[in-house]
Amino acid sequence: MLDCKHVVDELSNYLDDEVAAALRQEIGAHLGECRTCRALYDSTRRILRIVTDSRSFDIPEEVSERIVQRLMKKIEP
Amino acid sequence: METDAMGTGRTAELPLPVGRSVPRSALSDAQLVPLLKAADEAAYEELLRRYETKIFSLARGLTRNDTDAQDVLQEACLSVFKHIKSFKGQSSLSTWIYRITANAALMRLRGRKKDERSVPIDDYLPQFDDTGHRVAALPDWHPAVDEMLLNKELGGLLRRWISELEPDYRLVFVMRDQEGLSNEEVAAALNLSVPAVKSRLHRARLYLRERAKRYVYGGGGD
Repeated sequence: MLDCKHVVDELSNYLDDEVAAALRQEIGAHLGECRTCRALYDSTRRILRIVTDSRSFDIPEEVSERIVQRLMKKIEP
Repeated sequence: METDAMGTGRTAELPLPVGRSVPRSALSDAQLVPLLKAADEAAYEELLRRYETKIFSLARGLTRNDTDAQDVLQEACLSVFKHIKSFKGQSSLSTWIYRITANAALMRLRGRKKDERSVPIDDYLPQFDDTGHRVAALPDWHPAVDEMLLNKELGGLLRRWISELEPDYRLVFVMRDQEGLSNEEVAAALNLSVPAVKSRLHRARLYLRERAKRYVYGGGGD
């Protein structure tokens, strides 16, 4: 069975579904038995979901308009 | 040849008959490039529509404040205009724009006296002994962490902890996990190998999770 270090080393690849099928199965088996690694996996996944859900910041309208104006001014012959 | 509207594919210039009557919104990034080179006003409007929020969001994540992010957005847009004629299409237009944005944000960060709020990431990575077992001062998890993950305050804390990542890690994490770029896009934009991107991303994720753990054990004083 994989040790915890190996599982932690592969955690990101596992979260991103970028591990080979055999390794995926081994990691899954480890997570089924190791409460600590399972907690690490679950919590990291939740944290990433929160980050992904809060990805965009709004641009103040006046900033947007200022950029358009500056660009258009440069484009004008 | 990829011709998706958001230009995630390569941007070889396509010899399409693009006249004034063709809506720019119907064109792929690759098809916009020759129009941008020709200083077509509508093409720039379309470019801003597609990328303004993405550039600003990336800049905000990297620079950590609105004023710097606004300046980076402006610099990046003007830089696209200034350098588009030398854009060869060796990467996609989006990758090129992200590279310009990342460089502008990094210049701004370097211009600061000291990035004093960055914390050394190695202090937050898990430690193992020779047998592959954890060596940890704190138990690895706590029920209160689960509770916190369901609490709204975590969003604000995560933003702060991300902002305290060392810039090299922050760049990769923000581009990949916050802005949703692929490993390949991040690698191309930052001139890194894909394994280097994955390694930085992995360490940044473990850092964030460790910050959450220490926050709980520290009673909110972290």
